[in-house]
Amino acid sequence: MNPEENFQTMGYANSRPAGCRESSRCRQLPGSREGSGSRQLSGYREDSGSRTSFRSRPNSCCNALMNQVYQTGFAVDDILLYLDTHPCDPAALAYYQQVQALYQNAVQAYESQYGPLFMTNVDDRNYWTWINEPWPWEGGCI
Amino acid sequence: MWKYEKRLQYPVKISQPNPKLAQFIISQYGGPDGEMGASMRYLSQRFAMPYKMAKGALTDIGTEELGHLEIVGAIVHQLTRNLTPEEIERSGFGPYYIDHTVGVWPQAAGGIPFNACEFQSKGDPITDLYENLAAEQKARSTYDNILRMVKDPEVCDPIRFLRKREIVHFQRFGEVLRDVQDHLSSKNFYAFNPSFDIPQGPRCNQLQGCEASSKSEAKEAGCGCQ
Repeated sequence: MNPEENFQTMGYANSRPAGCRESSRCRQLPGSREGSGSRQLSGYREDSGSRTSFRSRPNSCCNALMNQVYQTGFAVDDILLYLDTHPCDPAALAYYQQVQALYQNAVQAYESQYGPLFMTNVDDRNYWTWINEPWPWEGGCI
Repeated sequence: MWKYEKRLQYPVKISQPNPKLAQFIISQYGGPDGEMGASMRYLSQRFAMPYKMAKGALTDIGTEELGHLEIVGAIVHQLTRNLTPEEIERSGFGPYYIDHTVGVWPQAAGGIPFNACEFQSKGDPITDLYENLAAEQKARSTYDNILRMVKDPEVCDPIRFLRKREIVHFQRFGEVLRDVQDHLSSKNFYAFNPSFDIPQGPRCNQLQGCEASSKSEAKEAGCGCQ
């Protein structure tokens, strides 16, 4: 996998996806369907010819923020391995800085609405929200 | 050490249970070429590696494999939700169910429990890296076999992701092997085991630096300090 390709397929601006409401409750995007359909995310596809924008997929608002975490997080995971074997590569080092920043923003955006992704980011003083459901293997959206 | 990020590396959302598939896919949880073996293999091998590129790659790939283990566990869990006794019997999932209900337990599709005989940590960098190259291919082949049996796109999707990652890991291990070979004598890679033997000639002391008087001498000595 080519790190440059990875970054380009994400097509990120620095803004939140259209249709994502400023609310703690998860709302469906207009015209979207609940449930099944292709789960292929841009950046993960082998044939990166036609890239599915996460906006056009039938997912609700909270999934959109989580998708940003998935995609930027994956970019970091991938460039990590590449840098382990190419520690002097300037393009790879620069790419790491970029996607790491995007990832941190994505994590922050998600956590501010839906709760902690890391046990070090539990900010609710009245309840240990770390244990809140759903847990990752349950396939749900908060 | 390890921390936990409360998400899968790739989403798994399966709406249709299918215990027959679960039986097949469980091989990537606890089977001979599955993610548990992969993570234990790489995380164990790194202790004997003398070179920083190998230590880094083994740590990070091993960590990613733990994340993949979690994905496979999630797939098996979601495929075995809301089962009736009739479905269990009909699908062939019965024997597993008797011993584990719908709990997730590391075994191969054929029933062999996960065990350390399914991987090696030989303590020789070249040997271990060839083991790892083979392991990634075995995992890829297993995912190929699973994909032939699976038609549900919600299941195929994370499986395809995992398969692609095996190919990337294979590539990375090839690069690490080249790096290890660069540290050894090109006249004879097998002259000594840099994890164990003390080479004659200039010594490499991590704290005090390299005794070699030239780069090529350091390379000959198998010193990691270039």
